[in-house]
Amino acid sequence: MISVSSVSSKSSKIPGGLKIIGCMSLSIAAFASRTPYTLGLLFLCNILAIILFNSPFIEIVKECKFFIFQCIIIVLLYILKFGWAPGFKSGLLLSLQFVFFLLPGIILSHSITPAQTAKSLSLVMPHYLAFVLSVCLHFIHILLEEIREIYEAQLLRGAKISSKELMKPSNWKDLITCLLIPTIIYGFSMARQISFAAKSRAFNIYQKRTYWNGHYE
Amino acid sequence: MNNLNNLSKRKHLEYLLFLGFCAVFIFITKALLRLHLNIPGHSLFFLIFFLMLSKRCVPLSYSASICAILAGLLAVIFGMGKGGPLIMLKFVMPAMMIDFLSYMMPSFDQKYVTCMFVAALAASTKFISSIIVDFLLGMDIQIMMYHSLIKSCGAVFFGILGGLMIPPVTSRLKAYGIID
Repeated sequence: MISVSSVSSKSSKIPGGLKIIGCMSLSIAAFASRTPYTLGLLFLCNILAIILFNSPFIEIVKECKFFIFQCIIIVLLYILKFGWAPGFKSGLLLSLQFVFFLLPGIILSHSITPAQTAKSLSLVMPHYLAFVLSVCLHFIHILLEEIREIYEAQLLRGAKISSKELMKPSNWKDLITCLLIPTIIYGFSMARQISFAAKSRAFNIYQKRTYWNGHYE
Repeated sequence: MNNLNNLSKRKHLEYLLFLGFCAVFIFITKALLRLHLNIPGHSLFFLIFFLMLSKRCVPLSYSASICAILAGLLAVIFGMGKGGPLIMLKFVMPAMMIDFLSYMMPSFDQKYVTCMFVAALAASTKFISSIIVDFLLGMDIQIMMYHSLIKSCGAVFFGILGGLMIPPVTSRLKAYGIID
């Protein structure tokens, strides 16, 4: 859940929708950038995005570790096919293109709050789906907490699901029966409760959607 | 979506919310695994499992696809950056395959072999999504094939493992009266 927690609390004043469009444009621009000059320009644009969106630079660099493995595979494949010098150059250019294709997504994850994104998405999404999505967003932490409680209760019952015991594959069955099944059942019951609660509050009765502003009159 | 009309609005909402929770589980497992493992395709294990489970538990025509769309939207909202703009494709393509195959084999969850088959085909869509990305980047065709093949091999392996979990889980859920 790094992406959720590490979003800067003092994010920039730029609207969430604009950040999404900006990062997606940068990502798409990577497809068209095939020369060292355009890739250099794209690098500067990404740096500019990090500064403008007030993203934490060090955390972004840490997340970029994943690219090293991908870049090595691409460069090696190019060297094997085209030889050392031309293969290395083309492979490296393509690896950089690959990095600049994925980097804006990481910048976005560190620069936008879930509320900003949800507000932007509600403009382009049906209300029904927006409601389900907002419930899911709201219940992520509750679900995680419930999973933790089930896990601890099952450990007390003697289930072999501690991290040390799970090193043995023979104990993996306990993980399914003692943690996964109760979690799925809990998900079902929670969905039932929320749907009852929503219907009892006249959800989806009227054509025009209304939103509670969060304050009692 | 004909069977939607036969369902009450509350039941419909309940099913959608359950699909939403499956999407949350997909998102959580994908986010957690991303932090600890660097094996290609490992995230397909839970993705395939929850997509197949949502298909089995919710009697809607496109339940796996709806679950995948919700998971994709969550990934977009939290900016799980490895997919760029094509991240939705990574979720939706296996789901569409599961929906299609479940239409062809309605009782796929009852045998391990059919579960493996459905899971393998669903996970193999990673090859297509990988090809699309590499093609748009202008990669050489032969290298594009090798690169996508390396990525999709791991995905198929973990997808099959995820699919193998379906028969025991559904039999348990049947025993608890959660599904018919």
